[in-house]
Amino acid sequence: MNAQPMMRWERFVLAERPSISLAAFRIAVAITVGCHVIPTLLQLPDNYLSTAFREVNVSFFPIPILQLIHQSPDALVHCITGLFYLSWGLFLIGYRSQLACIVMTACCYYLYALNSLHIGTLSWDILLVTLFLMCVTDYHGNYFSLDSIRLRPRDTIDGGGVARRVAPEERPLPPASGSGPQRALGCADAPTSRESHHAPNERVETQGRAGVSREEGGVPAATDPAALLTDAAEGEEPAYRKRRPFFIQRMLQLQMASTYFYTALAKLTAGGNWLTDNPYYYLMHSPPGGVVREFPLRGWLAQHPALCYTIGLGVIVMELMLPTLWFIRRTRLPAIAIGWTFHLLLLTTLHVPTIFFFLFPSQMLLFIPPEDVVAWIERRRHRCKGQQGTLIYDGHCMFCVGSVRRLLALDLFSYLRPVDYQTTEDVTALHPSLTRDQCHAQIHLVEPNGRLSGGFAAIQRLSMKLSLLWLLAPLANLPGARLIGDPAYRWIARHRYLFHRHRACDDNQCVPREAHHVKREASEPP
Amino acid sequence: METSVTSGHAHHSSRWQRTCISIFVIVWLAVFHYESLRHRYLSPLVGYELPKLKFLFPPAGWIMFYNVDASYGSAEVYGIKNGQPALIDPHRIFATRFVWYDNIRRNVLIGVLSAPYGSAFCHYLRRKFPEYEEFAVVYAQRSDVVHAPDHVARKVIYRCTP
Repeated sequence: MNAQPMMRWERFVLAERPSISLAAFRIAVAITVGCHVIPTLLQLPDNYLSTAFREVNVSFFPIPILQLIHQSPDALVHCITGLFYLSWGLFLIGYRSQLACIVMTACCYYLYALNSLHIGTLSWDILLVTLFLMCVTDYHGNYFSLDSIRLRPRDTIDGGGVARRVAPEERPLPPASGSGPQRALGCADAPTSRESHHAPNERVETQGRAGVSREEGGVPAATDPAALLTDAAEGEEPAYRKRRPFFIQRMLQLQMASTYFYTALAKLTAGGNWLTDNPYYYLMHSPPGGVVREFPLRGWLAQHPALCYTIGLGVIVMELMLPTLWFIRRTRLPAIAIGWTFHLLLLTTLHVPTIFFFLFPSQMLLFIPPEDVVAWIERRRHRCKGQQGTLIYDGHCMFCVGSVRRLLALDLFSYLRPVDYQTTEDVTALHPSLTRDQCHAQIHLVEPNGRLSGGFAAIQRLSMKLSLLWLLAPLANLPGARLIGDPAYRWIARHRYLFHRHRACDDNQCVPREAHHVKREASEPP
Repeated sequence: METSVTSGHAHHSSRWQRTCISIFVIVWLAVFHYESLRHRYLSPLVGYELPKLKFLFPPAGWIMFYNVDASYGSAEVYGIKNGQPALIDPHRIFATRFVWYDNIRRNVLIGVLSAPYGSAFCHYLRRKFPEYEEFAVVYAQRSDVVHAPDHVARKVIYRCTP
């Protein structure tokens, strides 16, 4: 008898489920906060500095707190503003997203206490409730974030049995399928630093020969991106499938549903006049410069009170039904569509804060089971299998390996098929015009239609091909971007062996012979 | 109810973590519904205003337009020079422009009518509009926007004199 409620609770709140929806919601929250707060920061002297006209919200803040905040010197206001911009930007891109969320929320509270005139709307109070929940965990940083591609160090044991930290980028990529024992050389392949003092160059050559693998038909075997993402050896899941306790997403669902329900209830009871009068009709008559926009049908609606009353009733029925329909699998998507339409209509007819558009519709999407989102992504990934671009990189360069890992984490729909040219005997099979020297000099992208691009041009193409890089595409493809991008890329490519972060590489022991000599000579006193 | 179908390794939370999560969720839901019901339902029920949780939640539930009637009130600010009043565009008073909506049209200026804010607002007006000698802050009341939309009763709430 007692087990069943516990199991329901377990499934409803505690079950570990993919956090990708929450991660996407983080971006919506960040955009909402930005749209709401940043405009007020553009008018600092009017809104927050000592020259501002300020209002206080005494029902929200204790008076001693307000008195304290209002003693802030302008310099502190400038500092908090800077901190807000920083934390907001980090929260948006998902870098240490929980900490960024906490700092950003604290800044929001400070600004709210300093002056509630502009930002202190009802919607703002609702947004703060959402921000509070977002501060509780870091699950929203699990994807669509720098956190998800940040290479986190993990504990491991070195040869001497001393615990130390090793970053995943220091481990080589998994071997090509069917390619036997070969592995791309990496710092992690030099388990003890003593071995690596004399071995690395020999191992490069050995692997250069033994690491050749060919699939049937003479096409070089690629490292399987799925294997990279799964990283079975590490017991890791792809970032988009990471599972976390579901309670935050569940509470955001409940917040959304309850808000709708209580809104309808207030219209019907406790002073609400949507049944006894015709509020929608009055709104259509609100004076010029009021809250109602001048939309095309407004004048016509203002002449039809019965229709306005019916619309008002329809809104209440919808607000009462949606909270239930969102939780039922069959009605979920239509209910979300209705909710979106409702908010779109609100936005086009009323001067409602941006929260109504950016936050609530996104919050409705949290009712879609995250497993369905993951299944959709994986169907897309499966469909893309035949239309992949080949990314040719240097598997001896751990900086390159780390970069490829990051790209694969961003490659939501499995567009990329990475190939280590060091373990590929015939690079012309990848593209007829490719040579090993070219592959050594820079990365290359071969698109399904045979288009070849290398270096910064490959990065430009990737920014357009990987959906999670689309935001960078306008910047990377600006006219003249190659004037800066090409030399910057060449500099990084030339020095890529020096970007190792493994302890064994502190003296650049991992670099190929030539580069090693160059560095040693350069560092020796004349 | 949905069940987890995703394969792969999960981040298994400990018993302690699950207990903490459960307590947090229960407390949160209790507070959330208390604040949703407090102002409109619970306080009238007990006959006095129940305490509001500070730092979170709106003061009176989740809606503004629960009761809309035919009247409409707003604030107007007049700058006076050589004895001649001139209505100041509220968008010049508060120049903050938001993304896709207009806070002035949400009647944000109405707050300046509160007497405790008078002194601070006068100080602000003198800084923003030094060209005027004094200011008058006026409450404009439309009693029936449907049948008499052009009838506006105005009352000076306070003046900002040099």
